[in-house]
Amino acid sequence: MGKEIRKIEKRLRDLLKNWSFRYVLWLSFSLISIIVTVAIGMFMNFQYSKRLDDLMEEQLASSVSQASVPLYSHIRSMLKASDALYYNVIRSAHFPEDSVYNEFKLVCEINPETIESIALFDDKGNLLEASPPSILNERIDIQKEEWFQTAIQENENVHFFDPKVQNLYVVSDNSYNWVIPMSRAVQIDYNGETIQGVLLINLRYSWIENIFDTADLSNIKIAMLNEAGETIYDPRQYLVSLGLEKDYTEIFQEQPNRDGSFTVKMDGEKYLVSSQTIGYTGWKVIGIGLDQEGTVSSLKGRLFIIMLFFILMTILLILNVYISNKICRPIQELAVHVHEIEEGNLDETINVSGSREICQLGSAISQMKYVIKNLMKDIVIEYEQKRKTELDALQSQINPHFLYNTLDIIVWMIENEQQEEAVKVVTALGRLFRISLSKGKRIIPLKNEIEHVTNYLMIQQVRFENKFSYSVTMEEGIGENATLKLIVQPIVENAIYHGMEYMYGDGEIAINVTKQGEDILIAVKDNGPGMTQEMVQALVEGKVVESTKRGSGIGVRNVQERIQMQFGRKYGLFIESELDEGTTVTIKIPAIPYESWEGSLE
Amino acid sequence: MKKIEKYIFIGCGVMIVILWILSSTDLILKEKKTEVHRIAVIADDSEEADWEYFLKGMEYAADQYHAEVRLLTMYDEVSQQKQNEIIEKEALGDAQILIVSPVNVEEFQQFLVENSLKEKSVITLNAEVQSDKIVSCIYADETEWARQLGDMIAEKAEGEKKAWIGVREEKWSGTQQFYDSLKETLEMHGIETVLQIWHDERELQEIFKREENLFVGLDKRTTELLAEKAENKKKENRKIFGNGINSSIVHSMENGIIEGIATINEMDMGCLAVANAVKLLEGNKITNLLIDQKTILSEEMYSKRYEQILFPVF
Repeated sequence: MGKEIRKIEKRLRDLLKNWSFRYVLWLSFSLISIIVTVAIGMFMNFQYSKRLDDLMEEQLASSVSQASVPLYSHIRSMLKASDALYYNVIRSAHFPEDSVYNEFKLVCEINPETIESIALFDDKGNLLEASPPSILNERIDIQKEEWFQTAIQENENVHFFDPKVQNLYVVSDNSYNWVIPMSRAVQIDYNGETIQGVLLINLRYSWIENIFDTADLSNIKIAMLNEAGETIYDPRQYLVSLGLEKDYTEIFQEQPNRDGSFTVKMDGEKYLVSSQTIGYTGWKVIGIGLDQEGTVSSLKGRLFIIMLFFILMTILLILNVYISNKICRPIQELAVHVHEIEEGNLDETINVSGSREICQLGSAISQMKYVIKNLMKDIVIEYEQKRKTELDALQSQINPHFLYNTLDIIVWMIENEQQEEAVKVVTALGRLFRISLSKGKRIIPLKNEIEHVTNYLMIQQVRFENKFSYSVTMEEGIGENATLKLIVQPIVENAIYHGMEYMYGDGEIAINVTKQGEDILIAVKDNGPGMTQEMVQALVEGKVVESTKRGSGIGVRNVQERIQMQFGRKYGLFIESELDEGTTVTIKIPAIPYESWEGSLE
Repeated sequence: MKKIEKYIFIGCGVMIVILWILSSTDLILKEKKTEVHRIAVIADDSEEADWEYFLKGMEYAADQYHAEVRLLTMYDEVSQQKQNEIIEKEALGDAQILIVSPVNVEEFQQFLVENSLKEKSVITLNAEVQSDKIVSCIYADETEWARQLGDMIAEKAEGEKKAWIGVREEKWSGTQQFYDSLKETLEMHGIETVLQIWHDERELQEIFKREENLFVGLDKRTTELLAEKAENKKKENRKIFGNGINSSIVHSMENGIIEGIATINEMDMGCLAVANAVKLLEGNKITNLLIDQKTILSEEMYSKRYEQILFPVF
């Protein structure tokens, strides 16, 4: 398990490495926003559902009460009327002499909407009194009627029966009425004897219909059941019997003896049921709340809430973009500056805005950049100094082979009694060394440099047994300009070793010193074998390693490096060469009078 | 803003618009509006009284299903041609569906072939009609219905050898099949039948001077007339039976004048016809319905079994 978590952590870390700080920040904020919004949404949805259920429960209880309260009140009134008729009227009457018709009529008139008829029967089922006055239907055997038998058998109570068609009396027209019989056993004084009789009050069925009509709602089904759970009243009962509507009273049969509000699950659906028993009758008024959640209005309500949360979430996402941009922009700018510094651009100015910490960081990086710049400058100066020292040490060296060969020539000349030539060579060598040393100076007058190279050419001409001839020309008045020491001699050395070695007296080396504008140009031209352009390029870039065994050891690249280090990149060597034609190497240096440089340059 | 963020915001915007359309407009989700459907019921009769129980069921269903239903009877002459004229007129009118009890099934079928009825659907009552315009037939098995009536008569009128069977002329074409089956059943029980197709009520003036004690009305009007006349001229062993139901017949049964009837639950038929029509108009599929027939004796008319048929609570 721990291993798995570590694996996931590692994957997450690897993933985060590829994401920008701004993206990580935005994603984190957005995830938090979404989680919070969804959590609030779910909570609100829960509250909304709960509120719908509560509302339904209230509505249901109210509808059930709307039916049961007046029903109960009417039932009580009927019981009181029945009691009043029995105890105040029937018990004090002596039948058949007395008539209770007026009292019966009065009660009927007081309750015209509730009472259909009142009748009094003796124990044989004979009609003693009835209001309105009626003729008994001969086809009906009163003693076999349920209301009669129950009243006689259970003579302590008042009984209510299921609705039925009023069939006791003969009616003149074709009309018929549905009634709810209410019967009770009564003691009758008949011809001086006390006999048992039955008081029947037929309640109008339409009275129940009227009560229920006011309580019935589209999303609530109201019905009234008897003690056995059979339907006494249900406005949709007829449609149910035809199979056109669902029988919702079946839902109540799951918990038939329960009163109050409760939930019943049937066929995978949830129903809210409210039940109230009507006292004295055993009837139950039940209300069944249908699922509100499936309705279009409920669905629209939910979708509206989801839309509000989507709007909220979108606003949060936009804010997250703004905030993460605000936080990350200075850091990103700083990262760009650091990258520039990393690339070596130490002149980049660091302007960082943002919070205090970011400004501090920017300022620290800026400070660090200045320190690095100064350190690098110092390192460069130190390096250049060191390099100069190295080059100076190099230029001050004379190839021992050159010296040995020159001395060998001098010895050979003396032995062959060529004293004059030997003196020339010795003199030239002496001057060569003198100018080479130049009291340790790096900068010497141009005329000294030209003299130095002239001496060198003279010695090499002798060494190479006049394989080549040379000429040195210098424009009038430029000899007093300053030049780096020993910059022409390595070029001439190359011309001799690479250009003149295989010449047989027809080799030519011409040195021409001119002033061009503010520059001095020293051109060393030979008529040697020449070079290809690739070779010229390689020579300038220092890719060709020159032989130093026979030459002075100071290479072309060395000369280039020294000139550029001293005078800048626009100065140095410029080589033109053509195969079988020869090579011209031009040294370009600034024309600076030696006096003004002496001392300051050193 | 990065591409993915743009896509997310565009997605959110689209979702908000969709949710707004769903939650705050009726473009996609609509509350089911209570639409009032107009239905025309065209009777095969000139008397509305014969449709009394049917009307109760029809009006109850119209109230429950928010339909506007009107019953149309013929004025004086009862014929398929007259009925066709009413049907045509209603088809051209605002009725969305027609419920027809045809006078003559063959002629009605021919009429449906020849007339487009503006592509309006038709539900037939009391007859099974084959036509592409008929979407449902609500009818009873008349042969079985007549057989049950015959059996009931034979049982209650034991010893009787002859039965008078009367039918109004205009109802004869629709009751022939019923009569044939009744005749066959009664003859099977050894009761000979005498058929009288009457045109004028005066023809029945001397009805009870006949030798028969057993009288059967094949239509409601005949049964009613028999009961009316029997009430004035009571006779111990006379027995009257009827076919069909209305409050006058029920009243006569209560008074013991009519011995028994065979009927279908006409209120059920009225309710189912309208309910089926509404179902169809709301886009549901409907099929044929076979209605059960009942035989009811006057002594059992208050039993729970028949109470709802004879005395509908609504």
